[in-house]
Amino acid sequence: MAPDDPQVQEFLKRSMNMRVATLSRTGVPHITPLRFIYGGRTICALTRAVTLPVRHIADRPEVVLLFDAEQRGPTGPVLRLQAHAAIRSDPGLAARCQRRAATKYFLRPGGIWNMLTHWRNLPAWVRGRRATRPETNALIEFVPETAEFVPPPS
Amino acid sequence: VGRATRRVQAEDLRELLEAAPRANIAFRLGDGIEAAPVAFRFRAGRYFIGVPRTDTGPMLGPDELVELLIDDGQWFFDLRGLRVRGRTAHANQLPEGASASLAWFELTPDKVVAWDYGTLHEVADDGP
Repeated sequence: MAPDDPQVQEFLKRSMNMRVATLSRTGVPHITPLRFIYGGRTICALTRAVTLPVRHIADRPEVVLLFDAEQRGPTGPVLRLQAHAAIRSDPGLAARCQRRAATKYFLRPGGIWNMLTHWRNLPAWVRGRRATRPETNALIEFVPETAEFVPPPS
Repeated sequence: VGRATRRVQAEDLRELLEAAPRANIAFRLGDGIEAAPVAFRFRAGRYFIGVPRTDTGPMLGPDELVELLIDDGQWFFDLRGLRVRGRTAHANQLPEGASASLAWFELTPDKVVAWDYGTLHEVADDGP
């Protein structure tokens, strides 16, 4: 299935987090959830530069991404994308990605409610964000190459 | 003032492990990486994963290095999960409630990392 198939695009729009699978230089597999922004042809994620996905992608850019359209409900197929990843050093792209991420994850009723109900955690979160220097972040851009829907075994 | 951490112990996520909404694994396939959803059971502190059988056999075999990801949550402070890296071994018996149509493996952990953003708090710089 092509990654630009309307079914795939709709599924990505309903997904909140993706699971990124990478392989280290020495062949150790890794999988981690990341928040993401879907831009039509590419998928972007901002994370810390020291994380394993960033380090792995520098050596082995072929990755697998899993999505499960959380906003659709708890059951149904998983979308699996084979993708080529690259670390981008475009401050303009990073800023756009950050703005869209803020809209997707925080400036929506669910995000605002989540913040309000966890007000006790907010000081630690705010101080943590202030302490993070922009140069310690990395922007990963994923270009999907193939797509398939996989039924989850139960 | 130290740094913010969301690290927890795996035991803190027992409830998630016993009713995991999703489970995915990553493993090496040829020279590349593969990832797939799996069935998951946590029984008596042991990690079991079930994978579909195909015409060519299960997608996994014994003694394979696998990373298992159990995670949950949509919004920031709801995010929690656990990552288990280890090697597979054929499960000696089906975990309770497991489908016999799947191939079941036990994952023996080398490394377990757990997090819960709902517990985000500050610790001293030399803390966990």
